[in-house]
Amino acid sequence: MNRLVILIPVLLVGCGEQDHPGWLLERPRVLGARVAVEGSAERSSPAPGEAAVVEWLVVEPPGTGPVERAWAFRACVATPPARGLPGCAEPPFATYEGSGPPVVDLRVPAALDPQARVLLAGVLCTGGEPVVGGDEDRCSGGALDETPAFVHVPLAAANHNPSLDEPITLDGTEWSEGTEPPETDCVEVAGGAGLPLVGAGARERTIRIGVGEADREPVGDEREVLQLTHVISDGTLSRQFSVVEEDGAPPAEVGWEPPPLDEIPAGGLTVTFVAVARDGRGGVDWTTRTLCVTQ
Amino acid sequence: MYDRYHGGVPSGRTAPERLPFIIALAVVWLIDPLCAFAQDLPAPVEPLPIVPPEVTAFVEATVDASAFAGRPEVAVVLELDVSAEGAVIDGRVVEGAGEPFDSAALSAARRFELRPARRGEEAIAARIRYRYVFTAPPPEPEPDPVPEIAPAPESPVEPAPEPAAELEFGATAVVTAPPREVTRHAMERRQVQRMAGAHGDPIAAVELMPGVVTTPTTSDGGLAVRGSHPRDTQVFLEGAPVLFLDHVGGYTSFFNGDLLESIDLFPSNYSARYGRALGAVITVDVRDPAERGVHGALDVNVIDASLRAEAAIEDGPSFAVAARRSHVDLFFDAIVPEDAGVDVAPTYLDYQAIAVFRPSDRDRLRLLVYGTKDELRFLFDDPAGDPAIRGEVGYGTEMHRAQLGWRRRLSDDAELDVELTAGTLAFAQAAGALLDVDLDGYELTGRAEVRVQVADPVRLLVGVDTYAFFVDWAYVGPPAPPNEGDPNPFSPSDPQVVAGGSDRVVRPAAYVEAQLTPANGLTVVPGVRVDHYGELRETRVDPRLSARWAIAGGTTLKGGVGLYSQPEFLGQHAEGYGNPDLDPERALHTSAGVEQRVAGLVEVGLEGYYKRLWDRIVAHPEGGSPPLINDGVGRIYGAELTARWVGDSRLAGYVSYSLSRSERRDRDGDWRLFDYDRTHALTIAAAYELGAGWDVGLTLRVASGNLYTPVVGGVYDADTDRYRPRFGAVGSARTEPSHRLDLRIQKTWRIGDGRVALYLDVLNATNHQAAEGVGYSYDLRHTQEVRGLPILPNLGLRGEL
Repeated sequence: MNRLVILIPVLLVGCGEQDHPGWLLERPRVLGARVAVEGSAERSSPAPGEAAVVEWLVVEPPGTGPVERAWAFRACVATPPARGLPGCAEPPFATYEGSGPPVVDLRVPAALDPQARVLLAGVLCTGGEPVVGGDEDRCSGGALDETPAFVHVPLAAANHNPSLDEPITLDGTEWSEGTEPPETDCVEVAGGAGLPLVGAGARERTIRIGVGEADREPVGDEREVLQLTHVISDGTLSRQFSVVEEDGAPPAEVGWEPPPLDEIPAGGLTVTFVAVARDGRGGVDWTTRTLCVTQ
Repeated sequence: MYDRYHGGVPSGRTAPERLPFIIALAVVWLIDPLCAFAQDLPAPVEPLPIVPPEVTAFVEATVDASAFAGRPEVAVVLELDVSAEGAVIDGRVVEGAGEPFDSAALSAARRFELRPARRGEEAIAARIRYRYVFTAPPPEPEPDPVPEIAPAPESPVEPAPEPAAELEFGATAVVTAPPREVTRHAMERRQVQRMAGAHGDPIAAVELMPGVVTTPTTSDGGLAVRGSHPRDTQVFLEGAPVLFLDHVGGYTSFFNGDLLESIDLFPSNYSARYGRALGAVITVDVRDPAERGVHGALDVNVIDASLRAEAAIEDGPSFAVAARRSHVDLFFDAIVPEDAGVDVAPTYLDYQAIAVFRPSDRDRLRLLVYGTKDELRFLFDDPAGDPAIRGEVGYGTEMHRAQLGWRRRLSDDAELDVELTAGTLAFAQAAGALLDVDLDGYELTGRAEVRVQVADPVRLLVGVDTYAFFVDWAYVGPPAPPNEGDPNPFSPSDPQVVAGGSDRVVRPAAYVEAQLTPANGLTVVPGVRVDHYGELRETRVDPRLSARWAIAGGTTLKGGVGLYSQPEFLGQHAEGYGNPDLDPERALHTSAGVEQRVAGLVEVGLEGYYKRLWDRIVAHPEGGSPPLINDGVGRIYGAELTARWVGDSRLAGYVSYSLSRSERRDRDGDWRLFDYDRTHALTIAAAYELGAGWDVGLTLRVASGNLYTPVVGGVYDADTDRYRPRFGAVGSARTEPSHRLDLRIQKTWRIGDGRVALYLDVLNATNHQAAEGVGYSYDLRHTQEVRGLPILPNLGLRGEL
C-alpha cells in the first residue's frame, strides 16, 4: 500500500513532459470553446429558451497555411457528471454542421430543466466528413486529422465569461496583440506589425498574464479560481497551465526559453503564444500574441 | 493535512454496535475457565507412555572458525516443534549463544529428520528441547566446526509430564500445534538476511516466495498472491492484522528483521484461525529477546540506519528494543532540483520494544510495542502536467501499537494463548484538487485460542478473534475511486464528493479446527470460521477442510477446500462514498499437490489450485447510484512448482515457477483478465557461505509483463482543456516481460565478542528498468513506456554484539 507514494512522482514525471509536451503548439489544436449568450456576450450560461454562440478556438502554428476544416456537433441534455466520457441523458435536440471556423448557433429549448447542462459534442475534421451520433464521433473519408471534442453548457450558473483584457508583458514590456503574423521573414515586418524582437538563446524570458480582479466572480463565500492555459509554437515553455487561486493574486507568470540559434532562419522565426482563461463554471476567454525571434 | 495525526477520542458508538465486540471480549475471558475445565477432565484410565522424537538425519551447521573467539565449544539450546510426520515445523532459541551460532543452529535443526514421538503405537506431534553444540576446530589445519548432538539441558523451563521420557531423551512432551495449511512458504530470519533482494526484510522476503508478484508501482501497489488483489492478502503481525507492512516506497517493512522469528505465506486454503481475506495470509512472528547476556546491533547503510539492543535479567524478564530511521532526506535536497516542489523528502522511522517475562513455569507474558511513521509531500505552486495537480500532493501514515500476549500451559494436553493489541492509526493522502483523504483513530485486536489434545487422534483448536477500529475520516474526491478493472483515471471533471464522519467497525469471529489422525501419516483438518462484519450487519460461516497424507518414500500428498469471506475495504460501506448495503466478498479455495524429499537434499513440491470469487465489489454501471455494488465474480487457476535445497546449510536456495490465469467479470460483462494477472513467474534464489566470513547471494526473477488497458483515442474536453481517453478492451495489452537480478555480498569479521559486517546489496544489478506501464502525451496520440526503478546499490556496515 505504501507503494502508492511511488505513484505520485511517476504520474507527474513519467507521464508529464514527453516528446510532445502540452505547451507546444506543433499542430493545429483545439484549445477551448467560448459560449456567449445572444445579446449579452459576457454571459456564458444561457437560460432555457435563449440562444448562444459557441465559438471553438482552433489555433494553428505560424506557417501552417490554409486549412479546410469541417465540423459537426450535436446538442443534448447531459448525463450527470461521472468518470469517463460524457453522454446524453436524452436524444439530441439539435445537430449542427459546417465548415471553416467552427461556430455553433445554439438555441436552448425552452422546455429544458433550468438546472440541466447541455452537452455539445462532435468532431472537427481536416479533410474527410464529420460523422456524429454513433458510438463515437469521427471523420470519414480518410481525414488528415480529426479531433473529437465536447463542452458542457450549464444553464443555471448565471456565469460571466472572464476576460483577458489586462496587459500581457514579456520581460516587463507590454506585449500587444499586434497584427496578423507573417509566415516568413518576420524581422522585416516586425516594426510595422508591432512584433517584439527577441534574440535566440538560452536566457529564459518571463511572460506575465494579467487577469482582471473583477473577472473572478464570487461563488458563495469564495471567488472563482481561474485556470490559465498557455501554449507557444516554438521554444520551451515552463509549463502548460497556471492557476489563479481564489485567494491568489494575479498576474500569472510563466517562463519561456526561445529556440536555439541554429533553429532560427535568417529572416527570423515567427512565434505564436496563446493564453486561454477558464473559470471552471463554463466561462472562457482567450488571447493571442506574436513575436519574432532573431538570430 | 499531516498535522491531524493526534487522533480523536471515538464518540457516538451505540450499544448495538458495541455489542459484538463486548461479546468477543467476554468470550476471551471465558476461555480460561473453560480450559481449566478441560484440564480437570479425567485422565485416561491407563495413559499410554510417550516416546519422544528421535533424530534420524542430523544436519550440520557451519560457522566461521573466527566466531569461536577462543572458546572450545559453544552450545545453543533450542525448542523444536516436531510434527507427527517427524518434520520440524517450528523452532526457537531458548538459550542463545549469540550470532552466528543461534541462527546456524536453528537453521540446521529445522532441517532435521526425526522419528516422530509416539503415544503407544500412535505417532504424535511433540515439542522437544535440543542442545546444539558447536566445537571449535583445532588451530591447524582449519576444518569446518563440527556440531555435536548433545543431551537436553539439565533443567528445561517447562516441566516434563513424562519424567522417564525426559530423563532418557531430554524431551518435554507437550503436544504442539498441528500443520493446518495445505501450503506454507516459510522463510527464517537467517535466510531472509542472506538472500539477495531480501536485505533482511520480511516484506522483501515475501516477494521472493512462489506465486507472489509485485504489482506495478503505478498501480495501487502491494503484493499479488496467486492472482489475487493486493488488498485481498492480509498480513498478521503476531496475530494482529496490519493494514500495511511496508514503509514509504515499499523498499523495506516497518519491523526490524533482526527481531523476527519467521515469515510464513499461506497462498490459499489457510487455516480457520485466519479470516477477512479472500486471497492469501502472511504471518510475521516476532522472536523472543535473548535470554542471556547483552546483545546489540547497529546497521548503517545508504538508505537508513537501525539500532537494536537486547538484554536479560537472570531468571527474570528479557528485553529488546530497536529503532530505525531513513536518511534519504538528508541528501535528497542535493540530488533533487529545487523546482521539483518537494516539500518533505521521503522519510520513515519505526521502533520496536519487546519484553518477555515468565512468572511461572506454566506462564509466559510478552509485551510488544511497535510503531511506524512515513511521510512524503510535494508542494506545487504551479500545476504540473494536470491543472488539478497543484498545491499539496503527498502521503503520510502513522501507527503505534502495544500488544500484550499471555501463553499458559493449562495442562499436559492443553495450552492457551491470549493476545490483546491496541493502537492508533493515521492515514492521509492528498492529490491537489482531485483528492484529499484524512483518517485517524484507534485499532483494537483481540485473539484467544485454546489448543487441546482431546484424544489420541483428535486435537482441537478453539479460538475467537476480534478486529475493531474506531476512526474519524474525511474525504474529498470523486465518488468511489476507480476499482480494479476500471481504467478511467481521476478527472478534474469528476463530481466531487465531500464525505466524512466517525466510523465504528467491529468484526468479531470465532473458529474451531480439529486435527484428526485417523491413520498413521494421514492428517485431516476440518474447521469452521464464523465472521461477523459489524459495519455490514452480515455474518458469514466459512467451513474449511484440508488433508495431508505422508506416504512412503518421503512423499506427502495434500489438498484442501474451503470458503473465505472479506469485508469491504476502508469505508466502501460509507454513505455518500460507497454503499452501506454491501455484502462481504466471498471465495472458494481448492488446491491439491504433492511434496517429495529427494535424497535428503532437495524438497520438491507441485501444487495446483483453483479459486472462485463472487459478490465482488465493483462500480455501479455508468456511474449510477450507489457507486459500489456486489456484482462481480472471478476465477483463478494455476500451478506452482518449487524446489528447495535442504542439504548443507552453507547453501540456501530454491527455485519456484508459477503458471496462472486470473480472470474477472464485472456485472454482466465478459470475462477479462485481472489487472495483476501474470501468466509466468520464475524465481531463482541462492545464497552461499564461501568461508572466511564471505557470503554471497543471487536472486533472479523473471515474470510476464504487466497488463494494461490501451488508450485507442482521445476526446478533447473543452471544460478542462484536457483530453479524455477512449479505452480499448480492459486488460487487453501487456508490457514486455520483466526480469530482475539482485546480488548481495557480505564480509564478516569477528572482533572479540562482536562481529562487524560490510555488505553490498545491489537491486536490479543489470539496470534493466522494467516496463511498468504506458504513459501518454497530453492529447493521447503518443505513447511512452513508464519504466521501473534503475539499479539500486546499497552499501552498509553492520556491527553486532
